[in-house]
Amino acid sequence: MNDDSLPLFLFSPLAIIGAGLLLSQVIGVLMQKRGLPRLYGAVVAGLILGVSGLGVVDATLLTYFQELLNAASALVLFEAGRKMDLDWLWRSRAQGASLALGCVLRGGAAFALLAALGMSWSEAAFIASILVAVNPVVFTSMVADNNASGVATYAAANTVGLSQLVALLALSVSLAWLRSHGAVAEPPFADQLMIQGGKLLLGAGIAVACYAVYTVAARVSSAQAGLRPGILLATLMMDLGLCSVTSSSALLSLLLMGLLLRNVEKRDNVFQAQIKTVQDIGYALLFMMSAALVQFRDVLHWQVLLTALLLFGARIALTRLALVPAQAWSTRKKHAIALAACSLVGFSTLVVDSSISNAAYLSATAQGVMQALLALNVLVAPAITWAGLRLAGETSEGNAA
Amino acid sequence: MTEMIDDMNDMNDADGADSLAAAQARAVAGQGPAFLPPFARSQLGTMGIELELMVLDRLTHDLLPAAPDILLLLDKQDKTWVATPEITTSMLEVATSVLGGFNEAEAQLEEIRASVQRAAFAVGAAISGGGAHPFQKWNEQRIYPKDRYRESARKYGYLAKMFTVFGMHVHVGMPSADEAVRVGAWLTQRAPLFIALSASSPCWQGEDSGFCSARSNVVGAFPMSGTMPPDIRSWDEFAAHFERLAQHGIVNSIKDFYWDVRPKPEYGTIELRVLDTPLHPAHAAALGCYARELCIEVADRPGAWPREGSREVYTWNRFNAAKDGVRATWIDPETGAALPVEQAVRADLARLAARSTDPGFPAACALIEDLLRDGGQARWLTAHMAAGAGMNDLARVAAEMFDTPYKQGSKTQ
Repeated sequence: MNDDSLPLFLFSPLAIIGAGLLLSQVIGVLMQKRGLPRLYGAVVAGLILGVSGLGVVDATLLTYFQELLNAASALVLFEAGRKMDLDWLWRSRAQGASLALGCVLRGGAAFALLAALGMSWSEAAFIASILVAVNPVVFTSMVADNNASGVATYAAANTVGLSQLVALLALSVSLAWLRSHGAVAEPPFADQLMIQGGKLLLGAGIAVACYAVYTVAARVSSAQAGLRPGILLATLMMDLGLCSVTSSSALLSLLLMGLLLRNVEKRDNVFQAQIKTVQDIGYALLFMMSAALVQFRDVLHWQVLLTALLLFGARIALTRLALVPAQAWSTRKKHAIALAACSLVGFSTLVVDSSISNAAYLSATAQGVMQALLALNVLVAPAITWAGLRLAGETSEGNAA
Repeated sequence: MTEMIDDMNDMNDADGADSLAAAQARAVAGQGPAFLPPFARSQLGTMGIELELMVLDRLTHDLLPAAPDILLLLDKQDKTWVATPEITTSMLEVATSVLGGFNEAEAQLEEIRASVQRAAFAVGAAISGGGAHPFQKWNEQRIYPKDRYRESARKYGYLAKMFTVFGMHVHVGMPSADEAVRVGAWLTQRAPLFIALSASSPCWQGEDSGFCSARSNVVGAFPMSGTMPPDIRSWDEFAAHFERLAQHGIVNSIKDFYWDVRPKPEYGTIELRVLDTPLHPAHAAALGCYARELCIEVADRPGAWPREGSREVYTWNRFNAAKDGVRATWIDPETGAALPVEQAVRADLARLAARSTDPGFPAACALIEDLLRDGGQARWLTAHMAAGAGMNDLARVAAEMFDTPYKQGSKTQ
């Protein structure tokens, strides 16, 4: 069969992605009928069409959608920020502190483990920074899919936002260190730190400015709550656009936008309403993650797989350990929170900036571990998150604790 | 049945009490034969207050199924009051110990408010008063995992989840079973005044219902709602009525009567059940004392019964009170005069204050006067809607009212 005989739509990246999403939905519904999480439809469809399957969807094809993917990731972060309750995190004391401790333990243990396995300190710190974060796509989509609601879901949602914030800050330091100590000659650590920190600061500044614009626009128009989503969308687009032209951190910026809207805006807050669109974005992102990130050859290398499994398990165990001082949750809920917050993110999910890639600064070993972790994450994290939400008894009637 | 009750009255030992409680529990759960416990006489004028509270998400202010988690925390606390689950997992019921007057009621309800608010915050939830959540969807509610509630869900179908409404019950101690029936009949006449004063559920399933107490209409769907038949004039007659219904399989325990006022034999009280949970527990204390003083007043007129044939008037009064709250008109069943609710309540309070021995009653009257201002609690909430607030915001405003100790004039913030 030559190319001339193929229909044109087979060359359209948009049509291919659309077909992938359609397949995700069909498989997801079939899985749901068998009592399995519907979100796995996106994973399975990604495996079929992605680099581990037919190879129709790969990283090259996804570059067509880089801007869209960046925007989608940023919107998911916005939702993560919107779920962060600063007042509760601060005043609940033991509960809030235990979630923060979980971030520190996840990062610290990953660093120690990777260093002990022979990885360089800078690489270990870089990967450990990434492993602090809980994946907002997996968690938010699974919560929305199962209509989960309850105290464990609430705590895990706060963990997602908090971990992103901590990871972004840690990553700016570790990335500066990695780049200043890499094979390629780059400016020294202090200068790198200024660059990375500057991106975060700029992102934060843009968030504050856009939030102010939103507030003024809402006040000037006296728009009632139900009429504000349009103003929100416009402001978020401004935020994303400004971040992309200034190379500042769009993720931190959108996270902070969500955080500001959740914690500063009190009266007539339209954002109290659930944003269902994030669920659909989650499907698309998980499908693409599954298609592009899961390469079975990475996972099947036993040493790499063992390291990845060790890290994955350690993250869950340490999140659970950090919850010990918290008195407000039952043991069952604590197990549930640790499981629901098991997922992890990749470098590209934390840094929306197509000009840099972690591959340029990591050794082959470190890249292998990271690839295996991400593949493992796509394959098992949705299931563990689902199990956590069910263990909490917060997904549906009849399984309450 | 009467013989059985007499037999039960003779059982004074602990084993007897345990077996009564066990029989009652089985009957309530639908797992045993119908059972009506003997009326446990109690001191006139003692009082207890139950409040059903909303458990809310701190972000969306939608209902949050976190009552089991809050109850776990409250169970660890030493307290004289109790906290129990309700039919769905977003509902929390609290009940005071036996109270003697307003000051005691106000202090204990404030302790309850602070404790419940603290426990809810610890798990990331908020608590609110009010008779109905403004925008919850009944089909999203989850039945509390307990036999009695599962049985209710089987028996009543969707009505069980629709019953995610939040009421306040006042128990007033009665010296005898017959007095409980008689005083209950008088209290029933005035129940619409309590509906009007407590009305705090203007929205239902995301819409302005046009009622001040949308909750009051939900109870009417249950087959045993309404009032005790007016021809029942003694405890024996009530027991015979219960037995007749039990033989038909219509009722199994006293809890199957969803009457506006019903006797509660195991406590030795009559229970006024028509009130929406007020937005602040301080108002609950005041309303409880109003009911208590009315009962004491009636008890001082032995042998007097309300006029017959007032049932239709009652239904009309009830509808009006639910619709227009404190701005409704109330037809006095005894005189036939149509009065504004505010006027009827103020006349009652003036009369009761003159004879009350409760040193806290003047403070209770001041709080009730508060409920008469600006159209009452439902209008405090709808005023926010008129100013452009959405349903989420309405729920938030109600939760913020519950969050702090009551201050005069804080309602309009």
